[in-house]
Amino acid sequence: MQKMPKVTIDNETYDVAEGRNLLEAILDNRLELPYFCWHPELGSVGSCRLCAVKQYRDDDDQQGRLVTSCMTPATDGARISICDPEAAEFRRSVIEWLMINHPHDCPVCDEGGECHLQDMTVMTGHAHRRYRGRKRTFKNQNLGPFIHHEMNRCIQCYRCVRFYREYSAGEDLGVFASKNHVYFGRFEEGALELPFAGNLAEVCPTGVFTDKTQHRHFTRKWDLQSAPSVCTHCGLGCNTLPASRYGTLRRVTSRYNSEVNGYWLCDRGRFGYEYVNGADRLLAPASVADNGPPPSWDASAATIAGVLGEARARGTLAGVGSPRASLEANFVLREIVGADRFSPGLAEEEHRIVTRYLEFLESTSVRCASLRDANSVDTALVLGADVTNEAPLLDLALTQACRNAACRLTLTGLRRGRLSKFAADDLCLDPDQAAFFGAAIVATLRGAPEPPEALRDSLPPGAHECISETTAALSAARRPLIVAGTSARHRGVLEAAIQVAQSLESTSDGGKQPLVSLALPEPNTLGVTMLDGGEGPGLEDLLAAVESGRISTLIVCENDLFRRCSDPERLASALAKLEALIVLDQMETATTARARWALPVAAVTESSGTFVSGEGRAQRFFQVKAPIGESRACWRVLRDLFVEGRQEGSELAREWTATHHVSTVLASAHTSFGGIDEIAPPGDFRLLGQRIPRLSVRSSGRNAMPDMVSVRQDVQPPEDDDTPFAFSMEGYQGRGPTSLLPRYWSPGWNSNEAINQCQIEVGGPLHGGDPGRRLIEPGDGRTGSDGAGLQTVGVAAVPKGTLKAVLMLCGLSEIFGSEETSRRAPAVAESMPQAYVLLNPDTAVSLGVVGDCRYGLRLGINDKVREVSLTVRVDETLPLHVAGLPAGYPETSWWQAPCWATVEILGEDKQQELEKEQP
Amino acid sequence: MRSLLSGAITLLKGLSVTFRHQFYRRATYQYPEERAPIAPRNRGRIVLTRDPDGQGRCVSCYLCAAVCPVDCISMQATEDEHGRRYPEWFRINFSRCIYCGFCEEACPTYAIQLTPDYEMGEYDRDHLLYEKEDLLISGVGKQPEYNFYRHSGVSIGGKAKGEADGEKEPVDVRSLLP
Repeated sequence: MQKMPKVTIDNETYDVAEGRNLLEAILDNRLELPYFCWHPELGSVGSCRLCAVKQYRDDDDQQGRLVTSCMTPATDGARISICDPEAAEFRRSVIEWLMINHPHDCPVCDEGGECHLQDMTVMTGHAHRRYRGRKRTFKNQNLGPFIHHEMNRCIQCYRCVRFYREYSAGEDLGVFASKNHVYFGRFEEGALELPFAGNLAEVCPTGVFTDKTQHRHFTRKWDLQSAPSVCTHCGLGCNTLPASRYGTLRRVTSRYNSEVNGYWLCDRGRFGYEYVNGADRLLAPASVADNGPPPSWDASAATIAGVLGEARARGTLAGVGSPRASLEANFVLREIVGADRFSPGLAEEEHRIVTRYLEFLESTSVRCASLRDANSVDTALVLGADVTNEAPLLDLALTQACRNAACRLTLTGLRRGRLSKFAADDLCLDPDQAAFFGAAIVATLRGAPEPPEALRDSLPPGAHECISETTAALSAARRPLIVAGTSARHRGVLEAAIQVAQSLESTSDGGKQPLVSLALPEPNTLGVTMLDGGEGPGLEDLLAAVESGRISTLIVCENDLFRRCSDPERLASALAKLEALIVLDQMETATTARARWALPVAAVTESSGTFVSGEGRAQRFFQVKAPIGESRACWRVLRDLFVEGRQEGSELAREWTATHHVSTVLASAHTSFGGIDEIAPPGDFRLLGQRIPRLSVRSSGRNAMPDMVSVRQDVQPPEDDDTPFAFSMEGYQGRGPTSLLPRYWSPGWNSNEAINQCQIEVGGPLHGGDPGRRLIEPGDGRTGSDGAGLQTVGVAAVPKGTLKAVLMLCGLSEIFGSEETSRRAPAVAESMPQAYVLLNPDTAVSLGVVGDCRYGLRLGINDKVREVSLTVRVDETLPLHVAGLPAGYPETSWWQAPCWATVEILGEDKQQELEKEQP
Repeated sequence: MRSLLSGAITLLKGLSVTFRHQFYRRATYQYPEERAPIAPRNRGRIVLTRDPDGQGRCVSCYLCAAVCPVDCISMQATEDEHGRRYPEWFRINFSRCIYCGFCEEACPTYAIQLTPDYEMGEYDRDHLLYEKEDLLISGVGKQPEYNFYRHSGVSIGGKAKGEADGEKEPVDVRSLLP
């Protein structure tokens, strides 16, 4: 083992990791030194000079010289002093200079109380402003619905532009002017284009960029009640710290996990939380049968359990799980209805895709890439996926790969996007062509001199060079990554991606680690598919069974079937045929509107459970706040129904009183979930006999809360068996395990820079390991099929008609709008595009339409005709034969997988008519 | 005998003090008919004051709530359309308040002040929950001149950037002139 460099700091000798600078060496050893511009991910620039220390040449040097510690490497034998009076005075002066122009804003500044500048001012000891001159001022800009701008507070650390431009490759935020007039903003006022702009609020050491959604219901950090959670707005499983106050959710910040999201979150994850406070949440059990007062929980549970029991006895019961419900909830539902009657609740094509992906992962030695893996790949092939919109943080990871590791990127999405500027090859292909492109690479990898003719002919000219170049790059790469997406709803794309990865693996000489990643749309898509194990019926089978009368009672858990089914009329008539439809959901959906019983369940931030992210990482989320209204945790409602129904096996469920009881049963019942009971301490975990407080010790106002109806304060905090956390400021005040950190705070470090104190090495893994556990690790044996049958699933043949009007309908994922829950958050709703149809400008011309206008469209898919009114948008990178429709929009939910359709433009009066009909 | 004598003298001495007090000025106040004079800085009922322009001084910074040792203050911040922050609601539970005055000390805008009014008795304890409308007075209280928004860098209705006391004109970022 290499000898670690030794650095002497204030006459004490410390071991330092290789390649660190002095500032990192100091922070790694838990010593305190103020800094501004340095950031573990953004690196050092030495622009603030705050981290000055005194460095001595050798033991005899008594004089020393001031150096900027973030710019000085920690070499073996270095001697430095932090508390040297001259260095301390220098640092105090730096703060004094910065304070000359800093406004008198702290009481009205959102950063106050978690401000790195406040912390550093206290740490350096500057307490008195001697300068009596006037302060410099700036005008602010409106930067859109997510970020609030207050430029007067700026201290010119350049962190914002370094994150925005260098780290994330954003283009619309920059530096203007010179000297002490330096201004950070956009050239013109307007919403920030980068989908990671929310991170500016965390990166900015003071209050220049703050969270605008939190601004509307502002709460100081010390008053926020928080617990570790997992983001629910895509399948990447980024770690979050949602925080609440007075019973509503106030903000979401990133929770550090070096394996997953690192320091970052995307804007959908950060600002999509407000649906939890939405007016469309279900508040109390509702039943269409009763005209009287709303039924109570107990009465509803007893009645529903009776209905379920009867249906089970007749064999007409089925259950639909959900990729946005916890594993525990899905498991209990599966226990109630039986494995062969449990549908995971994914759209038909998506279900097939995920099942195939899972089957592949379980049998192969190809590694499923974590976000950290994606940060350092040397070649990436994205097949038929729009990474930026489907899995935003994977885009940020690939950006790092391209910036740092000079990753060779090949994109085959439908249209160009953010990543295109890094791409060596950027073909705009429809899903069919993307699958052919992948198949051609597989053929070339397996030694075919030329891709088969059938494949070649279906690709646009120019694709052939890309095939050979990409293949060569993939063969030469050490860490190639293959990314596929689910929003294309095309099995062929995934199959091609799998075969490329498999071929790379089988031709590898051992030094190669091929990685694969599938962008999944929901937090537990992989988990619910693993639970289902291919035993249960798909949604189509279920629908057929309902239509034929074989299923007459359906229980749906946190799922809006109208988002999953391509034929809403058929679904509606099938649901109408049911004797009883029981729906458990957080909010009003098209499905709850048709339910005989709609039961309100808690949102993710209001309950505890486990999600399995697209990487196969099981992660626990903990309840942050009490559930809204009368809602209860989903798994608990199902467990009560299970117990009440007195069916076989339900005796055991009596003892399931906390989430970890269910996870323990699940871990022992399914080998694939082995160990999920150990990913986080159970609900009865205590430190020195105490719970971990969700509130900080400084939390205020507990004797004057708004929900206090009387000064007698007879309201107790809710019971919580599920988590080791307390709804209180009282409890264990030390630092517990890192998987149970409810906030980042350390004495003297009130800002989120306190994360540094929780890492083994600044910017590295957390103490005690990063939370979560990967359930699927690559096997040793290469048991995966060697691609005997590479099937590409072609979209059905082109229907007859004039070619001008025949287009392939393809789904386009939108970061803001395609995800079910976040689109109900006001800030996200403001940022999402109106329902549209995207055309190539040439196609638009041939159809006689112009961009950004609304048209009535008649679409003929197979033998069905549908008329809609949509805004036409144009994008010159879209293939000529494609019409893109946004995925996950209720206006276009009647359509799922890519298909050919005849497109006809309707007259204006018809369009007006359609406009009125549409919701 | 000697001790008996000294005992009697001591007793008489004590009684003489008692009798002498009959001719002293009375120290007892016949409250509520009669009231004791109160020092102007006596810490009694808490009020929220207004700035010289007549608008509420409180900017809802949560510092009084944070410093309150009995956690009897809570509020919710909000903002008007021009960016002036104020409490949407503000509540003090006087059944818990210990009149320590920490809130007044912590207040960066001189909004929250303790007054010499000590008559806080109520028959119903629930009446001791004071809301913003109960707390807000129509005067400036102590520090009559102070107006936080005259010093703060944020712009509000009637005060744009660069118009506060001790501020320069906003920088023209398109200019490179010194």
